[in-house]
Amino acid sequence: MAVSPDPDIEGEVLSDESLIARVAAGDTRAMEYLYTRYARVVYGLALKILANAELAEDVVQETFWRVWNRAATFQVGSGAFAAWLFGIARNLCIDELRRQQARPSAPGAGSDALALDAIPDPQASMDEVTWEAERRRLITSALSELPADQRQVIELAYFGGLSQREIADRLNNPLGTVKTRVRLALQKLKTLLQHQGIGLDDR
Amino acid sequence: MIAHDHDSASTASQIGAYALGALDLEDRLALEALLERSPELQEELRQLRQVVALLPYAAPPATPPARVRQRLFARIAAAQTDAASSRAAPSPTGAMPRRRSGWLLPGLMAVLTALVIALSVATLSLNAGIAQLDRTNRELVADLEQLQQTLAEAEARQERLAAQLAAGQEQLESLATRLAASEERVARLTADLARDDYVISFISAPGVATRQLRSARSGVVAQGEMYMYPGHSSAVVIFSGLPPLAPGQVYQFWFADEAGQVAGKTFEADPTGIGYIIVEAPREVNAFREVMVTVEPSGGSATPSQNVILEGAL
Repeated sequence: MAVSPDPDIEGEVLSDESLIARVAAGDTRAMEYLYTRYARVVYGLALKILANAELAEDVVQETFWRVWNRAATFQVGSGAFAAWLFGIARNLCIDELRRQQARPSAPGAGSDALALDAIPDPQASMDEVTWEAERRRLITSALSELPADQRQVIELAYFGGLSQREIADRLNNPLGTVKTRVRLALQKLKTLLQHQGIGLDDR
Repeated sequence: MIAHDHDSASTASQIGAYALGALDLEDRLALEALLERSPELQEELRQLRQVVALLPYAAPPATPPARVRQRLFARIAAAQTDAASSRAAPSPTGAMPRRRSGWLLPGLMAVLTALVIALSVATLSLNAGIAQLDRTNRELVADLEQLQQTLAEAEARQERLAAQLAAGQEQLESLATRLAASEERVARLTADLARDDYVISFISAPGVATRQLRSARSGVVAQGEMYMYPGHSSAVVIFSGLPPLAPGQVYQFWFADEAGQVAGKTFEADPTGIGYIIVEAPREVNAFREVMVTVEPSGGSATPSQNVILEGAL
């Protein structure tokens, strides 16, 4: 569904909060802009967690569908639209991951489907890609500053959906050690990102 | 008090794991209780959530296929259409022009009020019904999952039992084969025993006559003893010292009289050179003049070879 720029709404310069407020009022164009801004990151996240293109597509669709339906419940002013959006996406991914772990594994299409029938959406604008690339550079650089064991617990918790206790079991480490690593890792990430002068809030 | 502060500090230290979604239920509940009364902790959580919100960028972003966008916005458009049609649909109260309400008779107003109340009650009841149905539905789904799990377990158990049964059948067949082999051996041993009994009773019966068979070759210490009853055609001959034979050879017993040689049974000796045979002559044994034992090819010969091992006069 192609959307031409709207004279009333310049999505690429409007903040997330302005867009979500318009979405809450039923504005599909604002929804288009939010989709263009974040679908690539949501899809990348889902692909990383689920390693299955078909399921990742479902996650993207369901995430933005929920944004559309729950836009009115988002508290404008909290300055955390991305956190809210990614939280929805990650929860969907982790739920799917746990469903898969609960049932016998079937030989799935895996990521092959991505290569075979994915026609990339041409609507991701260069500005969005630049914004993403900058954010990606920041977080990967900050993560690379962490000791390997701290990076590992972050990876297992966020992308693996494991609780601290499950991580301790998986790594055969004491629970207290895992808790310490998680705490230190997040504090260090926060400090590193703040030192780079990055405002952590939304656009 | 000190312990309580310590617990709170320990719980608060897990704010990062909470932002990351990595807390176990118990810890999460404790932290949420603490969050409610600590604005500082709430601010810390807000900041950490922004850090966590950057983590998705660590995964390589990828453009989803265009169909995802198309499906999403088709779904949104369909939902909007549904919402618009339900708004446009005439409703019992909405269809009534507002300005006419003043003309309604008090009685009719009372009826309408009662109707509205009744409808509200019905709506509440329906909502309660829906909630109940939802609960029932969830329970049914849970039951279904439980059943599916039970079924999967039963199938796994059935497969295990089938494997055990197959193994059992295989074992049974192996035992049956061994049993058949044992029975055959028992039958063979029984036959041997019966033959041994016969030989013993034959050679120890009163009136038995014996004849010696002597080695026909120098250097061979073989000998034989023939037990017979004059006037009868049966005889038992016991051998010892018979030399081992080459493969494909057997010993053969012969009767001889003036007319020539009559072929008797073939036999083999045991590894110690001992053997015996029960022979049936074509007529009474004492009608023959002599007997001999030769080496012949397997299956025996019609006429004796020159390889004579034992001979004896009757």
